[in-house]
Amino acid sequence: MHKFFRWLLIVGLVLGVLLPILPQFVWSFAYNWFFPSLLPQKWGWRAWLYLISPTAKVGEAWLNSASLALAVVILSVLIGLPAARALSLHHFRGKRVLEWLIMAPMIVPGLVVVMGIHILFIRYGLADTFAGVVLIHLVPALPYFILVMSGVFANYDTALEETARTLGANEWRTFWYITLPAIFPGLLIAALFTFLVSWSQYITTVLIGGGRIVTLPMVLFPFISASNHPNAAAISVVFILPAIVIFIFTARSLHQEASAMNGLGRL
Amino acid sequence: MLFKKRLTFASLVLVVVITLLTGCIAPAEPTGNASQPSPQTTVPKYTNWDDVLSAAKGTTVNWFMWGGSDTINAHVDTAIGGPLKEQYGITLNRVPVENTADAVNKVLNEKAAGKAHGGSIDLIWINGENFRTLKEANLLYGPFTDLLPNRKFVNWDNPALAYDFGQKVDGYEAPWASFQWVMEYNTKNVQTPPKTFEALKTWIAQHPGRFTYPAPPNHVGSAFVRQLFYWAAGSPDIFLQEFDQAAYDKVAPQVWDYLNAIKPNLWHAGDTYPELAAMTDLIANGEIDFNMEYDANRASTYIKSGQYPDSMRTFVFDSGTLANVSYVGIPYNANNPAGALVLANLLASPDYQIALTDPETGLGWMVAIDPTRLSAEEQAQLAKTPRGVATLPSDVLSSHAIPEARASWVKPIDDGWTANVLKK
Repeated sequence: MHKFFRWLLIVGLVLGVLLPILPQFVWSFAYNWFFPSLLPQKWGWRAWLYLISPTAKVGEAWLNSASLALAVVILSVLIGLPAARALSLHHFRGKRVLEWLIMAPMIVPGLVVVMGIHILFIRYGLADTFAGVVLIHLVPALPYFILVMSGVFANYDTALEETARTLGANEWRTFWYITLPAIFPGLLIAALFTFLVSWSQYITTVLIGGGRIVTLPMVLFPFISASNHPNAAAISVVFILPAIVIFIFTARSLHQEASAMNGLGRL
Repeated sequence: MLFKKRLTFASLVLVVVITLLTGCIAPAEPTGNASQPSPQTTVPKYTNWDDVLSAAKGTTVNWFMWGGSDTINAHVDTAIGGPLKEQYGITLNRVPVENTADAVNKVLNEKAAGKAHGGSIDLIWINGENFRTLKEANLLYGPFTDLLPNRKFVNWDNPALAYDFGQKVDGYEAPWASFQWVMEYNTKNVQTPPKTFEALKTWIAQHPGRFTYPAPPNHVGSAFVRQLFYWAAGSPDIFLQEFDQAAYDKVAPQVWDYLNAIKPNLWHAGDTYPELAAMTDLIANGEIDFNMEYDANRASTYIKSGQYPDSMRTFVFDSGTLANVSYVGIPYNANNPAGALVLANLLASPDYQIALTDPETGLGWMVAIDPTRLSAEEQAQLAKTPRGVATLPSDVLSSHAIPEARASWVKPIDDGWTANVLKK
C-alpha cells in the first residue's frame, strides 16, 4: 500500500510538471492551430528554423542567461549562506528589522526600484555591463536564497560541529565534512530557486543591461506579447530546458542526500 | 575565540565577493559585441557626409526596436544589416524590446543620471507619443535629416510626413515606412463588411458578442475612438489644430453615445476589453469577426506565417482611415551617431524602399519617400511589386487616407473614453 502511494505521488509529480509543457512542445511545431481543432491543422518547422537562425539570437541569449544565472548563484551562496545561518542560529538586536529588509525585494515592485538603481548604476559605470546585471539580479534572487536557507538552518543542530571541533577539526574541515553535507539538499533547492529567479528576469535586464546583454526572456517576451505562439513555444522549450534538467538532477541527489541525512540522524 | 574566527570567515567571504565583482567589471564587454566603438567624450556633430561615412566605418549601431515579429526581425537583420555591413562596414546590433517605451525610459534615465555621451542607444524605431516625449524633453540628436544625401527622395512639404501626430518633425527623425489603419475581417463569417460607422453599429446589434476593440490608451484602440471623433465631427479639420475644449465638448457626446450603444453587444457584453495582442488570437480562433491594425499588410503577413486563417481580408471605412509614418530617431547621447545616420540614410534609399514594399521578400509596407521623385525605371519597378493576398490596392488605401490628429488630442480623448464609456 505504501509503495502504491509512493508511485502515485511520483506519477502525479511527473505529470504535474510535464503536462503543462507538452502543449508548448506541440505549439512549436504548429503552423496553423485554430479553435476548435484538438491538434494543429497544419504542422511546420518555421518556429525551429527561426530559432536556429542568427536573427533569433537564441544561442547568444542562452549563454548570457546561463552565465548570469551562474554568477548570481555563486554570489548568493557567498552572501546568503552566512546571512541565513546568522539569522537562524543567533539572536541579536535588530534581527526582525534585518529580516524585513532582506525580504523587502519580494514585496516592493521591482520596476520601481530598478528605475532608481539604473540611475545610480549609470553614475558608477555599472549600467550596460555584465556585473551590473548580475548585481540587479541579486536583488530579487537573494531573498529567496536566504529564505530557503534560513529554513534549513532552523532545523540544524550545531552540536555535531562542536563535536568535530572538539575532535580537532578546523573550521574548514568542519564546514566541509559536517556542515555542508547536512545542509546540501537545502542548498541545492535554494541554488535552484536563485538560478531560476535570475533566469526569468526581463525588465531588470532590459534596463540595466541596455540591450548589450541579450538574455532569453528578452528574445522570448516580444513573441508572447505579439501572440506568435509557435515562436514563443519553441523558445519556451529551450528556455525551460535547464529548469527540467536541474529539477531531475536535484530530485536524484535530494533522494540520496536525504537518506544520508537520515543515517546521520540515527548516529 | 570562536567569535573571532567567525569574523575572519566573514571578512574572507567579503574579500572573495569584492574580488569576484571587480573581476566581472573589468571585462565590461559581454560576448558577441566585440566591436563596440570606444566611448566618446562628447557626442560628435557632423556637417559633412564624408565625415559621417568615415566615422561610421567599422562601428556597431545599437538599434532598439519592438521585437515581436520574426518577419520584421529577419528583414532588419538581412535587408538592412546586410547592406550596412557590405557597403559601409557597419555592424547592426538589433536590440529587441517588448515595448518602445522601454527604450524611451532608458534614455530618460540616462538623462536623469547625467550621461550626456556614450549612451547605450544609437537609434530607436519611433513615432507619435514616444517621439513627442523625447522631443519635448530635448533628448533627440539633431536636426540631422538635412545631412542625409537621400533627403532628396523625401518630401518634407507633405504634412503627413513633416508632422508626426501633429508634432513637427523638424529634422529630428527620419522616415522608415508609411502605415495606414485597416479593419481586418474573417470572410468565413462576414460576407459584406460594414464600411461606415452607421453600418457597423447595425452589424454589431445583429451579431452580439462578435465585435470588440482594444481599450484606449492602447494605440490601436485609441485610434479607433479617434476615428469616431472624425466621423462625429464630419471632417478631420478641428483635430489638425491644437486641442480645443469647446470643439471637443461639441463632438464628444455623440461618440460616447455611439460607443455606449454598441457596448452591450460587444464581446463579453463590453464588461471587458481585450489586449491588442489577444485580438489576434480571438479572431484567429473565431471568437470575434473583426480586428484592427495600423499595418495594411499585416493580415497578409499573418496568413503567410500561419497566425491567421486564409479567409482573412481587410477593408477601410468609406470615410477614410488614419495614416501615419514610422520613423527612426537618434538619442541625444548616442555613442555612435555616425553609424545611426548612415542607417537612417539607407532606409530612405530608393533601392531599400522599393524592396520594402514587396510582401514576399520585404515587409509589404508602404514607401515613406515620394514615389514621384524616383526615376521612371524605379517607378515602374514600384508599380510592379506584388500585393499581399489580403492587402488592399494602393490606390484604395491612398484615396482613403486621413491625417492623424495632433498629439494634444490623444490624451483628452483617451481620458474621456475611460470616464464616459469604460466606467459607465
